[in-house]
Amino acid sequence: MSKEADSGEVVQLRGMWASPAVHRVAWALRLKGVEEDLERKSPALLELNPITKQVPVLVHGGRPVVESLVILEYIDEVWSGAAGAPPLLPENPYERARARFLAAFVEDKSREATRKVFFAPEKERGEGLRSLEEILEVLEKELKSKEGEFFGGRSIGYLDLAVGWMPFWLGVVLEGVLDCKVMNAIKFPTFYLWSKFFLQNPPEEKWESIITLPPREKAIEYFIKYRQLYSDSPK
Amino acid sequence: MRNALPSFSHFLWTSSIPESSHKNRAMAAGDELKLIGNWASSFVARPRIAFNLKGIQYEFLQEEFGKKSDLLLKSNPVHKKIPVLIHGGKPVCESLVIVEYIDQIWSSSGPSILPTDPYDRAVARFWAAYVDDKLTLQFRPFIREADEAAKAQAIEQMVAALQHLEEAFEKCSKGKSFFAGDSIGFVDIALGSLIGWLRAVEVLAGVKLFDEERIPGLAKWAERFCSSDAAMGIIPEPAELVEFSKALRDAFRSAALPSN
Repeated sequence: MSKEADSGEVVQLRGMWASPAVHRVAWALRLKGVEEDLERKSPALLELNPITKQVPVLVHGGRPVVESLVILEYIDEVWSGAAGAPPLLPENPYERARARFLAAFVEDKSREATRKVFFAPEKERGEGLRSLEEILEVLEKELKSKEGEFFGGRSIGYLDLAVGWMPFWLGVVLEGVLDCKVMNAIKFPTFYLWSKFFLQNPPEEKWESIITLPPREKAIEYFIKYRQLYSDSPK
Repeated sequence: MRNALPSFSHFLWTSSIPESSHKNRAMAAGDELKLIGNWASSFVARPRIAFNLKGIQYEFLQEEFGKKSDLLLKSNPVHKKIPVLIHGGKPVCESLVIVEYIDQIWSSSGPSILPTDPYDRAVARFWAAYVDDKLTLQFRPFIREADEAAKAQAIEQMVAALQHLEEAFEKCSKGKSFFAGDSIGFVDIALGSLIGWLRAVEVLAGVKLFDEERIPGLAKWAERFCSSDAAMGIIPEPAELVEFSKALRDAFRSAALPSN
C-alpha cells in the first residue's frame, strides 16, 4: 500500500530499527500523515549516501535527504499543511532559533556522553552520566517554560522529536544494559511527565500511534551485543 | 507545563523591561542588535558575513581572550560559547542557527542565504553540517599542544573532507561562482568562514590545502569568497592567525585550562 505524498512522489525511509535517529524521522512522517512506500525496491543505502554512510536516509521522489535533523526540517517544509498537523518548527523566528539551538546542543553533548557511559571504563562513566544530567537540567528548564505538555507547546514539535529518543533509549541502554539510572523523576519531574508520553508502548489511541518503538527486550539484547562487540575493539 | 517559574529567557537577560512584554512579541528588524565574539573565530565570522550580505549594522562586542564576559555567561549559560547574537535583548546561539535567523528576520534585505526549494535547503543544511562535523574540529591540534601524529591525522581528515566538498561544489554551483550560485549562500558562509584558519594551517603545517590541482574549483572559490564584499575584512590573514595560535598555545600551557 503505497500512498504518495502531497507532492505526488513516493516516500521511503531507510534505516536500522535500533537507531533512534531513524525513529525520529518515522515519527515526523506519521505526524504529518505521510505514508511510506514499503513495496518498491530502491538503491542500496550505500549508493544513496556514500559520503557519510549514515542512517537514516529519506528518499523522496528518488532523491535522498540525510542527517536526521535536516530531514525533520525538510519534512516540515514539504508537508507544511499536511493532515492538519501543526508545524514542527515554531513560526516565531526567535523560538525557531531556540529549538534548533537546543536540538544541536543535545545532539552534540549526548553523543559524547553516551559514548562515555556505554563504552568507556567505569571511571569515565561518571563523567558521561554527569553530562547527561546537565542535558536533562537544560531540558527540564525549557519544558517548564512552555505552555502545554510539549517542547512544541500544545503539540509535538521539532524539539520533542529531536530529544524524544531519550526516554526509551536511555532507559534501554542505561537501565537495561548497564543498570544505571539518570532520568530521575524527583530531580526532573517535568521531564519525567513528558517522557511518559514517549514511553507509551503501545501508544494511547489519542496519539494515533505516532510514536512507535521497538520492543524493549529486543533493544536491550541488541545493545548488550553491540557493547560487547565494540568494547573489545580498540577505539 | 504551568508557568510557575519564569521562562528560561528571563534568566538570561536582566533588564528592567517586564518579561511579559518580551515574551510573545516577535523581534522586529529594527530592534537593538549586538554580536558577541572575537575577530579570530570562524564561527563568529559566519553571522558577520551574513550581516554584511544583508547590509545590516550591528554592535560587535569583542570578548577579551581567556575571559568570558558576564554578558556572554548570562546570554549563553548552556554553552558559554561565542558567537551569541542579542536581538532586542534576546539571545540567539550557535553560528549556523544565527545565520538562519538572520536570513529569516531580514528576508527582504539582500540575497536569500538559504535557497527557497525545500530539497535544495536540505542539501545546503547537510553540507553545512558536514563542514562542522568534518572540518571544524581538525584545527585543535594546531591550537593546543599536540604531537606530530595528531597533526598529520588532522591534515588527512581535512584533505579528505575538502575533496568531498570539491565534488559538492561542482554539483551545487553548476558552473557559477558560489555553492549557492551567483551570490554567497549558506554553504559558502559555513565553509568560507574557515578559510582564514585553513590558510593558517597551511603555514603551520607546511602543506597546501587549497591545492589547485587537487581541488581546482574550491581553490578559485576561496579567492573569490575572500575578495567578496560580504567577506571583506572579516576573514583574518593567515599570519595574524598563526600569531594568535601561538598566543593560544602559550596561554593553554601556562593556565592548563580544561578543554572547551
